[in-house]
Amino acid sequence: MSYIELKNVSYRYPLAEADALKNINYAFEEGKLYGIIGENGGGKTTFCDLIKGLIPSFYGGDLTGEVFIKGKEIREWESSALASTIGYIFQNPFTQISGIKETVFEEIALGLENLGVEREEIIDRVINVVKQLKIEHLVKNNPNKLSGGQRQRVAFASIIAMETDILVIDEPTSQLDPKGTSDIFEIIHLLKEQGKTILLVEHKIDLIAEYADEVLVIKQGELITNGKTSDVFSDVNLLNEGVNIPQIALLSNDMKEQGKPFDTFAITRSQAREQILKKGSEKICH
Amino acid sequence: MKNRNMGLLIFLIPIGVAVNFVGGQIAVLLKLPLFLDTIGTFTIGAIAGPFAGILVGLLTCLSISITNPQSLFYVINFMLMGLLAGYLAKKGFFTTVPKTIGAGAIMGLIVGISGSLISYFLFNGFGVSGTGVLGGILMGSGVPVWASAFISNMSVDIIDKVPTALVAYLIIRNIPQKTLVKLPNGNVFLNAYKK
Amino acid sequence: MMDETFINSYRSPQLSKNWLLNLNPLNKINIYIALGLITLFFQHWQVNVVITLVFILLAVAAGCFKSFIGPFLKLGLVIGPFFFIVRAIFWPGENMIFNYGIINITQEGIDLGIQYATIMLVVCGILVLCTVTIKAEDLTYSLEKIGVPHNVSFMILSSLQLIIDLKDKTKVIMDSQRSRGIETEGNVFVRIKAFVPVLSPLFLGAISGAEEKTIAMDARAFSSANPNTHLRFLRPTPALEKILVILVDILILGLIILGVVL
Repeated sequence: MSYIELKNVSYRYPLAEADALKNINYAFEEGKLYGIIGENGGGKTTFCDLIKGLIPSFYGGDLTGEVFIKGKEIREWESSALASTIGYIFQNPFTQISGIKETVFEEIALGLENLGVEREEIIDRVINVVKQLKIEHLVKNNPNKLSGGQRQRVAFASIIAMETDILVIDEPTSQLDPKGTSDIFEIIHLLKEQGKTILLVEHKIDLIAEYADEVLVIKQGELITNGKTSDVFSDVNLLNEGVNIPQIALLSNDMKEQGKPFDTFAITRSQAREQILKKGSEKICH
Repeated sequence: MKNRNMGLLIFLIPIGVAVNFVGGQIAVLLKLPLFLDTIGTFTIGAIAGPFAGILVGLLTCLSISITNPQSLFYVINFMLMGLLAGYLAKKGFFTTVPKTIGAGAIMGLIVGISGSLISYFLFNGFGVSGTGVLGGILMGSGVPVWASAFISNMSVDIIDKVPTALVAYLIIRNIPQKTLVKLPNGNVFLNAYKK
Repeated sequence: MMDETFINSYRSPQLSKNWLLNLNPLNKINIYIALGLITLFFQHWQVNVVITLVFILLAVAAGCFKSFIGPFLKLGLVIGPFFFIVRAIFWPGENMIFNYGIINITQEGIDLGIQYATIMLVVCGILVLCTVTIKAEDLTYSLEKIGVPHNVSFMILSSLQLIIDLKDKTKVIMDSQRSRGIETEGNVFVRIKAFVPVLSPLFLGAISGAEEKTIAMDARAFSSANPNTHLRFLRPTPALEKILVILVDILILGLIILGVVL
């Protein structure tokens, strides 16, 4: 059974004249990290909102087709049950802080309080996530006085504490500086290692190349390409679809066109380095 | 699954409260001869309905009382404004400029009457701010106490509530349709804008 | 390393060393308001002054004199005299003391002024005492304990935080509007025109933030139907405290009855 499955899904926002998602069929498997890329306004966020169960309950509009989360149709899920199954993190660090808690520790605990978790378990879970995310130094701070990067890490901690199996992460670093971005990707890496199923929308294409198992390309509401990350990025024609391709993938392609292809198509720096070192040593041997 | 737009109302109400505060503060900073401290109540009441409006009014009154204790006695007035904004908006009153001016005048009038009654019965006819001085001057000039209370409270309220309603109208015009569509009174505005 | 004492502070009820501060917030409000009600039944300004002094003593007993007296004087010294002066110089009465133009000082006006000015001191006392002896989050906790839904807590706490946030943003926007050449000084019409460009980005930004916040809080199970738990908590009200509050209420009721009968 697929973990998340979309069957013939189309969706139109209220008052809109065109569909935001058009006839999408896809099955997500447990434990993989899926990169979702494509032009802005192409439907990536709508796709995330759909899987998070916000469509149509929050946005209204017309949803056709079916979305199954762990085998149960999205319209049949209770919102609190969904909250403890799918975590959602998005770009704006400021709106993800509740604004009603005095310390970061309490902020992280909020979701667990709402779920009715007992106090000792809340404390254990919060301590655990704080250690994982290395934010021990922030726990006593007022969450309303943190920087954007710090808030985003607290937002991650708050969702991770809820121990959901699935995480939908929509452009988590678009408002952060390079340091904030690398902090967040460290967390995403950790979550991947823990075996979470992750749907990640991200413009920084090199990071997608490095972390994603599979990539979905969405354009004008349609799923135009999907597949293993290295396969998707080896198709240079994607550039015509308004999608960025990692520089390393372009390099691999150049090598191929020059008649000197790498043995395996490299899409990340470390893969390319490995290939180049190998080629270099081959030359010396000859 | 349950409709989640109830959640949106819960998050809009505190915004109404905070906007009441900063509206009043900006009016002071710009040295305007108006209070403009009920824009949040008007706007949130108008888009989110009478119940939300009443809550904005109540919470505003409670939080404003900390620095302005006399407001506490006018809590009915704070809530009445939210109720009226929600009700009048439902009747289409905030969809055009002339209707908005009408709404402001009606609200100024009703709130003025209830404010005068509060001032008359609780505070001997003296308002608790500048209106008190105005009322006093009228009394000093020989106008009867009840008339002084009414004239001072109502004139101030009408002068303040018409521009307040107009600012609320401008704000509502700029609220994205995708937000309006999720709100109780949203369809009133969306239908009016279509024409 | 995480601070163990900090984490352990969530394992026991929030308590301070002061008995008065440790009272349940609703009990504190009960006592303050009951004291305040006395003023309505004794129409003597001396009674009002005594009650005001009681509030000051309560602030001392709570160890909050310093944080109490500043705001109290600031409010009281504006509101008290205002209530006195408008009545003293404008209230129509028989026993004229001084009359010039619209100024009409009568004995009745002065009596009324003193009466109302001192009542307002009591009102200021109640409100300032509430703000210095009750934390908002403790108040919402005790409200939830008596069955108020946690949505209400959210609205109260969120309002208080948003007031701070939007006030800060107002300053930023006013400065940036000024630097963009929007005049914030000049005649009344110029200044009225400046009002909307300052308020509207603030308000519209907050509204669009509310949509995102709905989504973010939904992900934190905000709309969960389960009864929620509390990490931070207060002690259950001790029997002694319950008796104390009931005694105070009975005592005050007795005083009021006495006042009405006499």
